[in-house]
Amino acid sequence: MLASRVFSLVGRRSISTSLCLRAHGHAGVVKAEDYTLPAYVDRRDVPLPEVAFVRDLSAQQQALKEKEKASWSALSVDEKVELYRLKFNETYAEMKKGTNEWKTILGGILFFLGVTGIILIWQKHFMYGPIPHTFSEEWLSAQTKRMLDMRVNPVEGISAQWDFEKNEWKK
Amino acid sequence: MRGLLARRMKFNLLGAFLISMGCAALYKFGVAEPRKRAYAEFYKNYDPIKDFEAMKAAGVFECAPPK
Repeated sequence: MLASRVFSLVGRRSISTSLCLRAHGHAGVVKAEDYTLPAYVDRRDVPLPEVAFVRDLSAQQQALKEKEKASWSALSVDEKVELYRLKFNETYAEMKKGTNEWKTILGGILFFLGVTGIILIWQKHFMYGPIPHTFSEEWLSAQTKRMLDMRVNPVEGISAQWDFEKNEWKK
Repeated sequence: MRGLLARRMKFNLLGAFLISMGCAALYKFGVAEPRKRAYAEFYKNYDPIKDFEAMKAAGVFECAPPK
């Protein structure tokens, strides 16, 4: 029994070794991931991207590419446009075109401002206690009178707005 | 693409200069000059003794109570 177990061990090892040999023997390199290869971008500051837009050409497109190798005056306008679209995704005009995204953004901003407002109103109504007694009308008027008596900010501030002769606010 | 950065930089530089100068001028003639004039006006006919007597009468001084 021990002998058979040893044999299965040896057998498994030999199989796995051959598998490894096959994997390493063939290519020698790992297949390159897409994100590691040069990519196409539609950017205003990249006028000629690293690769063309269309990677796998159909037979028709390949024929057109062959025709491109000859004199360009032989190409029709449609063929020229087709060649352009093979190489580039969007024209500069299409790239620079504005979207309506700002409306969504503005709407979102205003909406969340409104939500905040509702929260604040709820808080004032249901949560906060009374404000200090120093905000009552009597206290505020007494406070202002004392500020005027002390001549607070007489040049450009509150005492400059008060007419001390007539005892009233300046018009 | 010829001279794109140079053109934009010139344009932006000029704009920045104008805007900053404009802000400075606006502040000077909107805030600084009126303030200087207000202070000059205030102190032209200012009598500190009279002011002091008025404040004393109102009772704001702790060591100079209204008699």
